[in-house]
Amino acid sequence: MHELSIAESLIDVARQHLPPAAQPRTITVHAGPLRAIEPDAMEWAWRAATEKTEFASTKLDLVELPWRLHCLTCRRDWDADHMNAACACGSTNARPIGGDELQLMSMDVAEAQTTENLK
Amino acid sequence: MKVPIVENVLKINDEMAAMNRRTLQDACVFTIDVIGAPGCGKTALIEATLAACRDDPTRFGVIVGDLATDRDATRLARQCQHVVQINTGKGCHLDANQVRQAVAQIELDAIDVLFIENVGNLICPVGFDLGQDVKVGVFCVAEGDDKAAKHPYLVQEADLLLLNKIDLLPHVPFDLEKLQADVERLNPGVDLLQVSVSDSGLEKWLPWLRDRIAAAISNRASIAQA
Ligand SMILES: Nc1nc2c(ncn2[C@@H]2O[C@H](COP(=O)(O)OP(=O)(O)OP(=O)(O)O)[C@@H](O)[C@H]2O)c(=O)[nH]1
Ligand SMILES: [Mg+2]
Ligand SMILES: [Zn+2]
Ligand SMILES: [Zn+2]
Repeated sequence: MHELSIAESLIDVARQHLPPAAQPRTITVHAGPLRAIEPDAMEWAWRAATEKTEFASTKLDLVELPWRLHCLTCRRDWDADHMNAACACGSTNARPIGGDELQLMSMDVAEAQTTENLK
Repeated sequence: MKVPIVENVLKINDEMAAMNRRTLQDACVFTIDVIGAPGCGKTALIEATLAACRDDPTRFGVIVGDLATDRDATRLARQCQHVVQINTGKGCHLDANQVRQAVAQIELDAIDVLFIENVGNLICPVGFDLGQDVKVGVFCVAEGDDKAAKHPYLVQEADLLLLNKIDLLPHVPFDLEKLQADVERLNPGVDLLQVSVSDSGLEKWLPWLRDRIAAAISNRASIAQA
């Protein structure tokens, strides 16, 4: 269950970027396939970890990045659903590129009351 | 309002790992994170290595992570004075903060090499930097020949892979070439050494280890002189 540790780390990092008095609505995270994050487990972990924090009602938007493969036969790079996908040239001799991404990309926040009134 | 961020989710772990790395390198300790499935032979590998290197000048320490019990630490303490057990409770991997606390319990001046036996798990230990110098991934014949393909992250990140329990090869169906091909595809050029650690079959691993230790020691000695 590394999802729980990831959720806890995510709270710490997100907190560092939360504008004062802002209410976090959605947090967007990009995860590469090598990280083997299971979306249901991640959702459950996020709910469990954020309970009683300022992120308790924040939605986690987990974007699972595709495999990025490099074909050793025709040297093409492409996105695939799985690591053993065949290239358009027919070759199955491909290597994954990257795939270990795990990044907090953005946060959607409701601004504090005072700024809201200025609009 | 959308706030763009782009930041590593495990940033805090990685920062702590960088501190561990500095502490260990300053103390001239070469650190090896040993990662593999439950029962693949991580403790047996370290035990056999300690026994084989008994007459070497190298002094070893071990940090061992398990969900529960101090059984591995007890096994290792028969051969090594510097053993610290971490019990992770629910945690399925070691993190840099746990290692920082364990390192604080070890007299770093008294060791040259630190083994960190990670929690038995092929998945998430790979993503949590601890401050090690190298990662050694351990597969074993009894697990089946598809484990490299199923655990690409470990294969990609490993500085060395061991295939343990090679003594069982005649007894189980296992396609060695298939495993080798998967490894080569994921991490071209990485060594996959066959060992049998409970059967004194360490002749491929010990030269690798001794070379890396010698290189680390001479490298750090030259840094200290500069
Ligand atoms: N046949 C054979 N058995 C081995 C070998 N190496 C280890 N074993 C056996 O495998 C079992 C597990 O070994 P351990 O060293 O406890 O494995 P581990 O990876 O430390 O396990 P955890 O710490 O529980 O994750 C033991 O019964 C060992 O005797 C080997 O080379 N050949
Ligand atoms: Mg063990
Ligand atoms: Zn192609
Ligand atoms: Zn874990």
